[in-house]
Amino acid sequence: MKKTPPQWMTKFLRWYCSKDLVDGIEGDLFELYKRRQKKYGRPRANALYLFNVLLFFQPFAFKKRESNRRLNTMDMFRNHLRIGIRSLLKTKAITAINILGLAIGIASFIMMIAYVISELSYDKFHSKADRIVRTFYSYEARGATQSIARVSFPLKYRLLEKYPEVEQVVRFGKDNKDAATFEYQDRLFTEEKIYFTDPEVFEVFDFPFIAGDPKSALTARNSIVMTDLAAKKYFGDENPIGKTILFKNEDQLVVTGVLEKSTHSHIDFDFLIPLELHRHREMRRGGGDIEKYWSWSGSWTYVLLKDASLKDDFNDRFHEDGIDLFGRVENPRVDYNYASQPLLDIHLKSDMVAEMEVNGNINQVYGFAVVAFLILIIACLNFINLTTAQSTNRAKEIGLRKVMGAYRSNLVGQFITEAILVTLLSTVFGLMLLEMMVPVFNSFMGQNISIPYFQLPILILLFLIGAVVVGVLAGSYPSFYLSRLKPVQTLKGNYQGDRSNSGMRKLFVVGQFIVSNVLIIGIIVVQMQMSLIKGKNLGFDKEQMIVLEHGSKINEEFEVFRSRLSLIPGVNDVNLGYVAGTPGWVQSYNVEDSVAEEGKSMGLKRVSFEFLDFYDLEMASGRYFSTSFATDTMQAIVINEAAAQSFGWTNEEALGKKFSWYGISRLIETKVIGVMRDANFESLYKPVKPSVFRLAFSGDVTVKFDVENQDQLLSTISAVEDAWVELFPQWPFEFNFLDQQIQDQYLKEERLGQMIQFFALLAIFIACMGLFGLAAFTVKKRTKEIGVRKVLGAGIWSIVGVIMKGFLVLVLISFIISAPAGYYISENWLQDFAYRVKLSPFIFLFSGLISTLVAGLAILYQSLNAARLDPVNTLKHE
Amino acid sequence: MKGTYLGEFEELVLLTVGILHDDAYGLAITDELESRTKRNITISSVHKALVRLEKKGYLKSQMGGASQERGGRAKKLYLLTNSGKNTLNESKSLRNQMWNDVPKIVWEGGEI
Repeated sequence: MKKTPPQWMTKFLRWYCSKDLVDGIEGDLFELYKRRQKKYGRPRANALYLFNVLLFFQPFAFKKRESNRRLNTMDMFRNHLRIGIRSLLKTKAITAINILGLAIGIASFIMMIAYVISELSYDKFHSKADRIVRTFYSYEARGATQSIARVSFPLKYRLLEKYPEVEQVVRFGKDNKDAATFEYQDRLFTEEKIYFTDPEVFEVFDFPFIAGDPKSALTARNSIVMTDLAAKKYFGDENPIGKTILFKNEDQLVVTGVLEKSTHSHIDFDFLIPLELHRHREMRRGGGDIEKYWSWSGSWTYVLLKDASLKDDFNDRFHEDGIDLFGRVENPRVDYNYASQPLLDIHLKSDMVAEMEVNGNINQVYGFAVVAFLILIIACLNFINLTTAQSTNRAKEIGLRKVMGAYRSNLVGQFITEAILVTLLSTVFGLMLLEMMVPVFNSFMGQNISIPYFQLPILILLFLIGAVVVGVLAGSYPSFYLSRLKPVQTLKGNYQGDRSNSGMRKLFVVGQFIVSNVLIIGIIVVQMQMSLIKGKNLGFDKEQMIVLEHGSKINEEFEVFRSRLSLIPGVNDVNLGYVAGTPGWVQSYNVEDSVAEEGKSMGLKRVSFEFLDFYDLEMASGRYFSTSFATDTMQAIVINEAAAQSFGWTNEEALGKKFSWYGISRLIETKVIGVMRDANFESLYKPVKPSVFRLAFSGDVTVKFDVENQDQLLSTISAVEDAWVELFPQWPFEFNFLDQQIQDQYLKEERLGQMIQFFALLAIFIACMGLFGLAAFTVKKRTKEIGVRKVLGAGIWSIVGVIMKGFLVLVLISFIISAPAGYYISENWLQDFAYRVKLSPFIFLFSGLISTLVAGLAILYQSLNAARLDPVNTLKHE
Repeated sequence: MKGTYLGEFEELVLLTVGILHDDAYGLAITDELESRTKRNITISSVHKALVRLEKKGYLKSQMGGASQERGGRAKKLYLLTNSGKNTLNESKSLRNQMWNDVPKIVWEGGEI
């Protein structure tokens, strides 16, 4: 039978108990244990022993800190700081590389994280944000689901009536095809960001009011609410409340509220006008009552629920009811599937047809975050590498400190202190860099990011803590490595560094270059894809054309305008209706003899007789609309090849097929008279949309020019302006170049792409700086070897070759690893595009070549320097 | 330092150290106290008191011999210092004084 208590209990006692007491206590407990073992047996004695050990776990019995260590902590810290500063100053070039690299890394990191936070914070300022959902509908066409962000206006009343959990419903609408004007004191302004909405809007959303009463701001039909920026533009420093402005030359509106412009809302408006006003204007014009009009999905409808937890339940029931709900309305089209999405998901996750604005992309935001961390990691690896590389310089100091009685923990403390010193310095530089970067970033990306140091002083503290954390992380490997050095080796003379450590260093270099290589591949692929999209032949003519902002207002007088313009030399033609390259409408059609329930939603372009020639388009079969067929106006349509394909017809089979749809009052039947060759009228991210072309005698006005040069173009445009001002003085003359307008669709994507490229380049730059520094150390360590080689007759280039080989092998290894990784990532990214570049091996070879070249240059400089040294100097010490 | 105040338990431990004279170590003191007071006394509280008393200067310690019985561990033996003896004396005379000052009637008068 064992006679001692379990070892682990005793070990525990010895672990915490102070040296003075442990013998006495352990002996006493052991004696007691023996006594108890005799009396109660082993198990109970064990339990009591443990109980006793635990009872001793009190402050009086704990190990005391050795008093001498407590005494000189401050002094040692001061000494570490001083030595740290000295050794930083001793190797100025390396210190500069270290601090600059880290500073760039830290600045980029904060910048990008600020962007990510800003993107993630959209719409969060509404206090009820978690209870708000937006309704939308989807339909299925041949297996693909299309979602539309807008629904019909009357849906609001169904929602309020049918669902007890719905507290309020607010709708937003926009007159999309018609730029709005305001007139104030004889000045005309064209405004785009103007929405009409329900008066209850401020019960649901917390757009911050500066002046006016949120409850009543939009109750009167002739009221208008504007942002502070807009108010400044119109009224300067005067009080805007109560001022009257003229809306579209017809309605006098009274300013009833001023809001602070919200930069982090996907509902981006400058003006809000009452829905009632829009409804009234439509009816005045002879249109239907939008409050009763189910077949127009023109309303972004937001539902405030009574509780956030009801979201899923509401969504399920809404989805379920949607089918039956619309079986009873006047328009029997039932290709809808209703659903709702949380407000907070809209900005980053929603990409539907008819979004309020081009939303952000969650993947791109994640991409940004990943690059941010990669930059920081590369910068830290640099730091680690350069610091461990310096070990040869510090070996004697470490040896001496150990001889003088330093514990390893002291040395670790010393090196971590130095690391923190460097990261703190870098943070200060980084923050300065950041201040320079932020305005550039903002103007380039159209963002509004600021680092609120003064509103949030805690940020500064946070940055400092961050710097310390980075310092500890980056400093821990070098410090544990350095503190391991043995004094016997380091002090006896010629310490040449440790082989195992150089392996670790190589690993870091490979890691850095894998990341850099993948980034280079990414940059090339993004670049190629972007230029593919830019240079892609859209299939229609878009050069030398302008689209008039207010063209849609001159409907009846179009022919007058057109004949007036035909007199101007340089004007080729004027067109009315759908503008190629812009998003069109969507309409549901019943094809052939299908029942109403199987209506298919298709793109709708309302075009003129001249559309085909104007944009230089071609027919694949049949004919285009012609004035010589009287029936073309109402009974004929043209479809595109994509539409024919989506029904499984050949271009010839499609001719004569019946398409019918619901007009405002009745079913309208038409026949296909021709099939048009596909052209990319809409986004190149998506394949050509199956579309219907219908004759129309209203819409936007596009002017096509036929001029030789820029000067001629400008003078022709000003002649057009004169004609416009003469004919329509009540509307301002404003226009966009069509090719520019099409380009702008990709602007946001393109800029984000460029930003990621910029930061990727920074990452590569930091990696090269690290390599540069590392090469400097390697070369220094090998000065003697180089000297000997030279004495034995080696030429400069053979020495350079010897040094570079070591590094280039590493770059090559990282290339071999990074190529498949880059391929995988690029392939994933390209999947989203309808038109995409093919990944050829040259991309990868090229990226490998670039990184080898850049790395080679960094090392070449150092090795050339070393190879030039006179062996007399390098060898004389021996 | 907590001054010279002596708690009841500390006083008992001091006295026990005196009683055991040259064999006053943790477990022996605990046993002695248990048998005299009939209370359950944990060994850790005795050790705690000993450490405190040593800090106050009433006790001094020295390491005694190791024995098989104690798993090869030495005993920590405690001895009263002069100041320890003085404190005990003071404490005792204070009590005597107070005893004397209680009027006899308290003892003889019975319950009120």
